Amino acid sequence: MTRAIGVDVDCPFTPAMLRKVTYAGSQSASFVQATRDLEVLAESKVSRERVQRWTKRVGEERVKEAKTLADAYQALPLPEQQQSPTTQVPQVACVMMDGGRIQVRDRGQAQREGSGYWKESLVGCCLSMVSQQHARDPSPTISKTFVDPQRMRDLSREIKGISTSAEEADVPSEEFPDDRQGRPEVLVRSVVATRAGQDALGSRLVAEAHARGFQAARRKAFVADGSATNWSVHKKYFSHYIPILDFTHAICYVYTAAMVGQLSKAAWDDYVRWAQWLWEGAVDKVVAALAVRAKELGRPPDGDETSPAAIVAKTLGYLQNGRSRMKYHEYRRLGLPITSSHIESTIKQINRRLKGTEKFWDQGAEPLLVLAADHLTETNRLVQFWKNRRKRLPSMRHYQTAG
Amino acid sequence: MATTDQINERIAAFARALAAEMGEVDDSDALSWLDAIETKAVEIGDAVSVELVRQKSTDRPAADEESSCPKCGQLSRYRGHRERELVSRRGPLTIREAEYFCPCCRKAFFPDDQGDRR
Repeated sequence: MTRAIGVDVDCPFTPAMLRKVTYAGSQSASFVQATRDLEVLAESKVSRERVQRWTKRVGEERVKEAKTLADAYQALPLPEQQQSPTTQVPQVACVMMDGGRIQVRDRGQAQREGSGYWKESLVGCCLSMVSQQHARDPSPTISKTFVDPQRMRDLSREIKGISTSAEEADVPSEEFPDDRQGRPEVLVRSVVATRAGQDALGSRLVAEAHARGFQAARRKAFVADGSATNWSVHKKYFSHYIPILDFTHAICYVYTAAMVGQLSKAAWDDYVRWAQWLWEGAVDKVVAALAVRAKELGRPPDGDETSPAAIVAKTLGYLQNGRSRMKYHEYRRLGLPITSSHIESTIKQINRRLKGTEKFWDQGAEPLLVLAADHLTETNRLVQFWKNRRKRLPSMRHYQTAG
Repeated sequence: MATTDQINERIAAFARALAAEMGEVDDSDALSWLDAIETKAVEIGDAVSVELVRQKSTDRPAADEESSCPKCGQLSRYRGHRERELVSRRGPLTIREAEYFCPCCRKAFFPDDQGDRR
């Protein structure tokens, strides 16, 4: 009996070469760039069409595999879902998620109005972490970075898209610590990404968390910004994880509300006070202070989103809705993360391949998203995929030969 | 089967003989003398790799006269070996595959492509 060669019936590459082609196709900035990278780095000439076709083909297989794993997890009885299939259980299990945006164009469709072709993609990551638990908050004073005027101006512009005046002092006071004490350290990251909606992301993310033994971890956290999508996923798939609203987003809301419609010095002093309250988890104090400001400014007219009254009202709503996920002093005591910086940087890494004003995707976006996530994953997910792939190869050529 | 040490000894002997036969390497179009040597060495290494894969793929066990169709399970006829061009890490290479034809499905199939049969 002969031995399998492990090559698809219509594949022009050896298995090892197909791995290189797929890597280049999903990691280079474009398929054209992938052919150049292969020529320079792997000294192999492969046409753009072949790189595109085979990267998508392998990506589609990965999409199918991810769905199968998610379905298999959902089919498990509840007690098994709550057990760890592995003996390696992380000290701290952290799940983060956020949305990205890519351009998707249906070739048959006319150009769209408004947001054009931009569509949401969803990305989540499972992070195993180590940290100490403490009897009380190990870092009760807000970190210097959040009371640095220049840094907060930049952060607010990046996250909220709002510029504020630059007249306040430019140097943060020395009384604030450089960094948070007892910050958890990330050990291993695995990434899940999809364009198929929040249920697809949630089911794949929870299957990934289960496979990594997260369900058995004693400390579990789910960190995300205030988007309703994120908290729907939390409610449906991760309700037993401690919900944490990303501190960076929350502080930007507070910063913007403090800085609009006030003289700089007074505004900055208000901000520093409110920021410290937020850091302490004393959200009620911030809400009370903002309620006074909202009363002074009056009710914003309908449709107004940019006036000081509208910004303060929006911040008030944001804090009131999210206050149960803002017990930051308690999260630090438990050694949990309070920002979603890891998912933010993961999305930036995925965007390098998928996002660009010149990049338009059709049905090919999903396979590429999944492959981009795979390549950012530090577990042996892809190694296992390639190992198992030869067992699933189709055995017949697609064409029909004459008898 | 030769051990890794034995294979390494053969490679060293082969390289010594080749180095003696090659004489001076032309470095007029290279970045340096070392660059010219490296380029030549990689070319030889690639050629050896391709040839080794070709040799090993031709000395695989002979095909059976009949094989079961993966779709319908019917015994199917051996139609001979097909040569197949593949791009490998070391450049293009040719391997040979046994081809069978299922009279019921009227399709060709290649048992070598069917998953891992070890």
